[in-house]
Amino acid sequence: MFRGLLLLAFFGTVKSRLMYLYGIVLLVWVGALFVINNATIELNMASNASINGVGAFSGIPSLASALIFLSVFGVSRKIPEMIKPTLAGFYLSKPLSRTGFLSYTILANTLVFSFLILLLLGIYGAFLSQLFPFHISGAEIIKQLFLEVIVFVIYVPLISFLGLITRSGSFAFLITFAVWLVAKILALEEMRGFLSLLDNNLMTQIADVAYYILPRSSDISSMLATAKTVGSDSLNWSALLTSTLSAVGVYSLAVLKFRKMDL
Amino acid sequence: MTIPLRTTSLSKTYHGGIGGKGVQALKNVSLEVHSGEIFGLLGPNGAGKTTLVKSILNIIQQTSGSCELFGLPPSNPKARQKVGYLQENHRFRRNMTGRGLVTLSGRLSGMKDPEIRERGEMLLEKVGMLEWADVKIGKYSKGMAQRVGMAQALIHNPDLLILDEPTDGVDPVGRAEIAKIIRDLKAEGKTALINSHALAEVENICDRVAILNQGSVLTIGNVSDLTAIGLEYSISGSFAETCAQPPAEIATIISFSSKEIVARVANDDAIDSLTDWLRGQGASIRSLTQSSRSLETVFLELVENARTGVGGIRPSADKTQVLPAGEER
Ligand SMILES: Nc1ncnc2c1ncn2[C@@H]1O[C@H](COP(=O)(O)OP(=O)(O)O)[C@@H](O)[C@H]1O
Ligand SMILES: [Mg+2]
Repeated sequence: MFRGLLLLAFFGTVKSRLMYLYGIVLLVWVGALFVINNATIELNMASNASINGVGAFSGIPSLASALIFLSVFGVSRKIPEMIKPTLAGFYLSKPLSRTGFLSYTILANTLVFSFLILLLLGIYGAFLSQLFPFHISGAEIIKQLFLEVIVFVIYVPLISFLGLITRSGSFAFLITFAVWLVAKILALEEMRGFLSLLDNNLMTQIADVAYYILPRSSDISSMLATAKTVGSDSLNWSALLTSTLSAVGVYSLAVLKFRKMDL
Repeated sequence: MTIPLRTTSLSKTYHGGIGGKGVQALKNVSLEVHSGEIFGLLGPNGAGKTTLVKSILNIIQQTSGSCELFGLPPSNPKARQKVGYLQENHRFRRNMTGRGLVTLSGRLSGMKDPEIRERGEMLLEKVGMLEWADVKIGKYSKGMAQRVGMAQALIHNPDLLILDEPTDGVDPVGRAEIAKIIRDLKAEGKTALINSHALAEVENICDRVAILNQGSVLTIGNVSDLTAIGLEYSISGSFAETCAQPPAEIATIISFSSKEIVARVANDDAIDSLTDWLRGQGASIRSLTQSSRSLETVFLELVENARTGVGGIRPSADKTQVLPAGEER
């Protein structure tokens, strides 16, 4: 039965128009690589010196953000689609418990979109390492790719839960986007400073709690870079831990809600 | 053998929006569907038929009372393993093909692909959709969608088939074919529960029906018992004028012609006396049928009685249970 839901999630996604957007995003980033590559060659010829034109640019974090954005958007429509009044009876009459149905659906979509993100980042990574062989180390890139996938994964329970209660993919997506924005703002250094200026204990506490409850996507994706700048060998896992815990919490809420839902 | 379906004092109140009063869609519905029968759940739009079926399948949760599917609570997935369901107003994913839908249904029912392929072909053929199996559902007419819907519901060879308004929007040919499929299933020993507001359409294929109105069961019984008009017979043959006035203790004549008499007999045994008497008058009798009326008439009468508080109709057989009208159930 999981197989059925997995295949449904897979074919439902690869046959959807969303795939064009994935294609366009990949083309834009790969195109940018080629442009930078040409510019670098010209620069090198002009100055007769070897300049690493890519510099700090790898394009991976920005491409990952774009892919995560698309994937969260893609997932947002899945649950509301299945619980539409015209279709819910078909799924719910099948010999699968509510918990099983929701969990399998979430898992299947997580796998499909994670695969897509990895695949596209992998394709881009292949171009990147061809054009700029010295720029990156393979092991590091792979670690970074997995962190990016995790950033996506911790948003899936949230968007599924929102899809359940709003029954609308667009609403679920908008709210998730707002949550991401708030989390992003809370993670800013400047925000810390601002809050300490405010001298409002309650506000500071609320901001602190929210910071730890919301998905800490920017902390996760910058884990490796942070470790490098701090010069420490060991990674700081706290962002992963709190985000995973809150994702599990939201998933449990979704299950509890779904078990009692009239459809 | 466990009974396929039983509800006991099932009630459901939908809660309206914030501060809404709520709709009591089902009021203490108790019924049983026996193994091997085609059971019709009839009533006008809004009677609660869909609500009843959704409670049975755990798609909604009842407010009180209980349901059993093959002796198990509907929330148990095993209970639903033996049930095939086609919901009303379904709209399957438009970009999926008919075959894709049947395959998905099979997979979600826990079947293996080779088995799905084999049964799928057979069922698509049976519902007359094999040629269209690879066309996207978005291109289907309502009738075609209904047929693949039937195939989808039957893929895992369920013992109980639940169809909600199966003939809605289907042309007469399609309706006849759907009726045939249901009869074939009965011949295989399967059980079916059919929801319909079109009473005339289903009265011919159902063994038993429950008539539902405003969430309450008005009556449950055999179709023939419900539609029979207790003591009324029509007799055809050839009759002399002298046959027009039978003794009052035997029967009264409702209509008379030399070819046909419609008579109301005085009691259940009086039909024999009437035929004896007619023969004594030199009549020759060719056929004798108990008069019947359509389920629709029965239904309208029941609703009227429920409204005015007069007792229910008098059935001709003991098996039929008619609930006293006006009683809060
Ligand atoms: N989800 C719902 N929320 C509120 N009221 C509902 C809902 N579904 C059905 N109803 C109401 O419950 C009653 C029974 O509906 P339904 O079971 O669909 O009847 P039927 O299938 O016999 O036409 C109707 O009055 C309908 O308006
Ligand atoms: Mg209905």
